[in-house]
Amino acid sequence: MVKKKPSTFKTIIKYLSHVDLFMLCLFCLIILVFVGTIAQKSIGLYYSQVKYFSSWITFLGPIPFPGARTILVTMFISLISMMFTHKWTKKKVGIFITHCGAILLFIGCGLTGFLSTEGSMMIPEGETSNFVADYHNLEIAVIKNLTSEKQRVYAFQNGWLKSNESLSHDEFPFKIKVIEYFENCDIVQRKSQASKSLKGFAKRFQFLPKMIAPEYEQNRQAIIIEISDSDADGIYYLFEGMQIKQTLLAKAQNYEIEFRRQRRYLPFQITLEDFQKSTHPGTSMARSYKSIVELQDKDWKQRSVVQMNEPLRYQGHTFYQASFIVESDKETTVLAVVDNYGRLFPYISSIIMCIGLFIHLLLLIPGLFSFKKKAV
Amino acid sequence: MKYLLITLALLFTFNTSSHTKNANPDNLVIQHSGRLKPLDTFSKYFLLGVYAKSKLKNLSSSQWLKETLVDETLANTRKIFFIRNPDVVNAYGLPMRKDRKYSFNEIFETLSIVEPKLNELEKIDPKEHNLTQKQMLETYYGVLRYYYFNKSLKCFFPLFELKTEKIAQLFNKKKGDVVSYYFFLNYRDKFDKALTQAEKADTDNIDQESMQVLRLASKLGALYKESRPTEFKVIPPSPESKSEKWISPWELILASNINSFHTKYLDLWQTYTQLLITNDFDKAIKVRQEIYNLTDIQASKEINTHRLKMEVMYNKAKLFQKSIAFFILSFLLIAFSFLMYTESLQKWAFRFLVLGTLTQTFGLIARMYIRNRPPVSTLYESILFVGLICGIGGVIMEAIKRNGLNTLLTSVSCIILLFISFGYESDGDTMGMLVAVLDSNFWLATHVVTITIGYGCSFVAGGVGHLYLLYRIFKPMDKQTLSEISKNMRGTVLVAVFFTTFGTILGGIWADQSWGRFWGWDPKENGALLIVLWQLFMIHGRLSGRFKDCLFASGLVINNIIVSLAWFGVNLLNVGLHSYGFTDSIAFNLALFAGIEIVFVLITYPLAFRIKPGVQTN
Repeated sequence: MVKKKPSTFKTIIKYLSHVDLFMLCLFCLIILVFVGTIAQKSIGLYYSQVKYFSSWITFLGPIPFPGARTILVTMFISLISMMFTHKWTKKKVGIFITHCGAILLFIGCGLTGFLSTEGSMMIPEGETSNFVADYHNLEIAVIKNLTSEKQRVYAFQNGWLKSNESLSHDEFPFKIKVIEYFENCDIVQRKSQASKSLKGFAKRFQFLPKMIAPEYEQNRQAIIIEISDSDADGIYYLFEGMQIKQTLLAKAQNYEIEFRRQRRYLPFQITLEDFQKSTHPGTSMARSYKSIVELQDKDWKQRSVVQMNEPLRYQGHTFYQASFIVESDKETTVLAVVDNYGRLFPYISSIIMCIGLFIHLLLLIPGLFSFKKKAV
Repeated sequence: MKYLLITLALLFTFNTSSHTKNANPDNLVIQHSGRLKPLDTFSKYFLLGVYAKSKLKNLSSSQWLKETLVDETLANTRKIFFIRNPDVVNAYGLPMRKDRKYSFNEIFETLSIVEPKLNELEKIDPKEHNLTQKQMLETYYGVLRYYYFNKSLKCFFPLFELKTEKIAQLFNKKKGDVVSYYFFLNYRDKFDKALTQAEKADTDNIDQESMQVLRLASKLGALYKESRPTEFKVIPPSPESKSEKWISPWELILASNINSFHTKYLDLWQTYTQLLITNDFDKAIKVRQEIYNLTDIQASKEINTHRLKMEVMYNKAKLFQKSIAFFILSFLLIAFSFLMYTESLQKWAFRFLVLGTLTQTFGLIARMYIRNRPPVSTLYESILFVGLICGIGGVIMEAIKRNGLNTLLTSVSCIILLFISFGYESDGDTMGMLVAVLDSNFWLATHVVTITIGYGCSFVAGGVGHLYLLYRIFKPMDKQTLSEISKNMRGTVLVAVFFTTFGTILGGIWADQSWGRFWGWDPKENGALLIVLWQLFMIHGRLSGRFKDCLFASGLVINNIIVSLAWFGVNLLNVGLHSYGFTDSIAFNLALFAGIEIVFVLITYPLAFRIKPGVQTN
């Protein structure tokens, strides 16, 4: 009798579900987490996250190493295949439930990792905002003032912000060419006479490239662009958080050009009515801070308090009290805005895993802690 | 039950002996770093800050406080400044001493030379200070703090003699009476009048009265200029005001208008100070009681004042020092039991282990009551709590096994943990207020407690790992015990992974609730994740049969390193937050611990691996 060869599919599943693969993944993840944590001291949280944890492949020194995404996806596949190939018995019901919970956790993790977006909304007291600014990504925005209240914005994001990239749109007459992009720079006053092609802010200042700081927030990103086919052709210098607006005239129409954090507009708006901060008496240590906001969606108005551990949820967006800025007499609240489809998964999966492990422990304990037999 | 009674009895007998009659202000209330606390706690941490111990050699912290407040001359000669670093001693130009303890007077003398240098240092970004510079400034701030603090009650000191009949009459006093700065406050108008008159007088033939007035004025002015300390905030805000801020006597005296509520306080403190100066303790105790009753009414509006009373008792009882004593005793007994009187010594060692654990429990319960919080909300408490978990785990296992090994293991780990906690105590008030994000009893009770139990269980598992390796080397014939220990390893590590996993996930959920992100790969989160991953790695390896007992046990020993790194090590990455001299010793101790564990594994694993349990080797 010829022994029937198992199908290739089954063989693959068998290998995938093998505990050795899972353990290898665990081990790689241990190394990755360890290295990624230590690296935070030198390159900061954000860059370490980009390099090790939200990448598919990374390098430990010169050695290529799977990134956290690769490892987690492999673990997930391994877990699922293991659910089918493992021989489940009554005794292992706890383990089974625990692994189901783990799979749910992985699904939630994936949903969050690939689909969620986060950003921040800064609102000074008494003012209104209807957009979320991205934490990291920037955009060049060309703003055309239609009326005193209405404007049209053309924004060029990420992929466009590379040297020699040219940006244009049918609805505005001029062309923009990216000359140089800085991840971090210092702004210094020009010492020598500026050439005639430099316009606006660039006449008096220039950018000096600087090492990237570990704290992402400490970097000042800047860009040099060249504008052609307008009435004020030349080279413009822009940086993130610039107070002076760079304007230009083209075909009898005024345009503003801004380099800013990417904006996502919301279909509703939020007004900060009051920001309240209290400290522990006699110290400068914050006891609590909260924002009293009014949310307006067409005719619907809602007043809410956003504070630590008490976010505001509306139409799939969640607003958290993240931080605040106090300048002389003006208070500005910083709300973190998150849209996360996977946020319920950890809750459910932790409950399932908890039940599973608990059952398992209950089944095992009598055997594991052997009681001394009483002498008769 | 029997143990419970014994512990309670022991704890209280120790205390009553220390309850001698004293008039120190230890049970009075002060508002400091954001919370109300007894002066006893305040003085204890003041001393811990400058002296690194909570009491002087033959002076309790509250005795020292009294002395500092009312007897400047003596207090200034007390050697209360401990300078850890010899380089700092040299930088200050102080004589080198073995104990490196110096009095205020000694440092004050050299201060004129170093002060310009210190002021220069202050201008530099603190991140760029080296260790010596950092500690130089620390000492400087300690000295400055003391300099201002010991003048807190000086406004009540009888410093001004009314030398002539006329002046005395002006203030309704007798000639030769000595009065305080505060006294003049009630006669401000009269004094001002006399002063303007005196100033008008002809400088050449000035009469004695005017002369006296001018002298008094200049002396008062000098004291006013010298200092107006604000740290001694013992007077509550008046009931009608909405402020939560308490104030110091000096702040109150210098305020423009004082209401009758506050006058009462000032009068009482005036009397109390004078009685303390004249050593009239019986009366002083009565006045202190009056102040106490008055303050109690005000304080009870903010917090339950029973908590403050409990805090005074808690400070006196020094429960954790007692529990470490029990653990040391237990350790010594069990160590001797391996040499002689095995049975009875083991029994007693176990009893002391139980006593130590119970004392630790009482200590933590007292803290929970005082702070009105779950057991763990600071690093310091997490250490105590892990100690408790180890204690409980050890007691349970020993109760089942009764072979003495668990007693040995538990007493050693509890002693180490308690010693570490004493190091953290000197960082400052261990009952301090929490920042906004941590201020949630629900999450502290769930996430923090769960993860800390997880740490504790991990250490228990690690301990069992040690035990297995050692036992296999020294008693390879005892096959049954070995397999029992092996089962225990698997059991404890499963319990540990249960708590660390849920602690970590709960932490994620808390982060999701407050910041909007479940996971951010920040060092604290990664630390917790590393523990979970390592334990899962060990469990999967063991259950799939890839790891044999020896390797599994070694893995659990390594787990100890990972837990301690995640627990203390991540704080080292955030440079700037806790970067005082102490962190350097944490880094050293961590490295030492990791080194010892690695050496332990490297030595015992190869030895244990070669020995087959139950097989006689020649």
